[in-house]
Amino acid sequence: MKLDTYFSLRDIVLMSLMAGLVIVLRLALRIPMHLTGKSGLFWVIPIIVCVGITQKLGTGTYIGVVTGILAVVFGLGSSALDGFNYLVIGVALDVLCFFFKGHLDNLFVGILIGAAGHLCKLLSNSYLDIVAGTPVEVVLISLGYAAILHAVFGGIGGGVAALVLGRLYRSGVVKKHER
Amino acid sequence: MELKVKIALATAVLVVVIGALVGLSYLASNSAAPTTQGKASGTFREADFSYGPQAYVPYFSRLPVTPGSDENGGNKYRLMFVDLNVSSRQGGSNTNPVAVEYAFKNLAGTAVFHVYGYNHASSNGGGVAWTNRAEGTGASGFSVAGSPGSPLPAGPAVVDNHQYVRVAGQSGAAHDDYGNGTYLLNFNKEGGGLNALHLSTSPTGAGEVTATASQSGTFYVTTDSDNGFDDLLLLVGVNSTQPPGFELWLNASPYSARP
Repeated sequence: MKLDTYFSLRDIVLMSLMAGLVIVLRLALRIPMHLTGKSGLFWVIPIIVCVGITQKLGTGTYIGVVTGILAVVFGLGSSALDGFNYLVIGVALDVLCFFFKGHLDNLFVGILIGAAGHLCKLLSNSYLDIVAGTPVEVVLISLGYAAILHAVFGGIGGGVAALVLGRLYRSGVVKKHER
Repeated sequence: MELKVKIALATAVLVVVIGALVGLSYLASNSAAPTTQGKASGTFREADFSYGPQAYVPYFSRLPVTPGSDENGGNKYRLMFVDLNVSSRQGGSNTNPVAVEYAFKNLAGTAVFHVYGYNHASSNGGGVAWTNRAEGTGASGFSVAGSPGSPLPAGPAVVDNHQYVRVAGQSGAAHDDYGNGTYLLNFNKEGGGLNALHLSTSPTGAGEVTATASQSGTFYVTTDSDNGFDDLLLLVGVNSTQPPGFELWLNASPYSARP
């Protein structure tokens, strides 16, 4: 399987733009809530919408790789390893969207995918904290509260993505490939 | 597999994973608390540093935050008081060391620790009237260097001697002498109470000035004051704006040489 025959030029341009959009949203949007995981409210949306448009396995992973590289270049996060988190969420959303293929415009599916994907990012971030030397018990103490918030905000973002995809499918802008 | 089955399966897995994480978090919180007097002091974030920025730590006369720094100069710190809720009177001794475990997450700039001693009643009126010497012979302190930081913005109230101070954290003050959850900084003469407490890397140490880049570890509060202290307050300062995700975890407990 060659990459240039698997992904069309349109797909690659779209995925790259969505990766850029994730970074722009992280840099430009500031939500005045002092809650962990609030950024998942908006930046899971471009990834899920893009997967729903291309409807190809690997879309999320590609966006995760490009987003991770851009995050390191623009200095998002406290170290270069934080770019790894974006790859993890990209792969996680890829797998989840493939599991629910053909139903990404379903609101419940969108909520589940967003919540689970954002939770994977939390787990990846916690693992990196432990690798960086933070004591395990310190990471675990705040993990429960953070897990709930990450699931909630990711779920809201996923739900919004499902609604957007539903509108795109119904308007005919994007063709939905039924299973 | 039908969509309904997939949704049910995914929901069940998600709930189980979140439940497991919450359970692990609960177990970790409980296991961090020592069983004897003194409790885990908790996790603190940037908003808990409610005093400063200022270049001195409170005493009868202003003391520099770090040895050699100008207490009226520009190297300012945001400060918070943490009630360790631990007495130095343990096991028949008034001078039992207290172990303080710390762990930083995403620390920017430098963090410094000083210690204050509290007694409910004493010949000088009680309150917070003992501290470690910040510089000179017998000086002790503990500082942790993090990643490069950014300057502090102008901040809220500075803290000085003869002020009622609040402690950070949800537990609040363990000793509420005034009914308002505060402690009184009560240094009444130059030299009084100074060097009664020490910060050391050893439970038997006489105190030293320690600078480390280790983001987690343990230091000890020691004393040779015959009367001991009802409680100890930790003064923590940071000289930089902290990034999102900054946390300081503290756990204090009486030190015991027995395994």
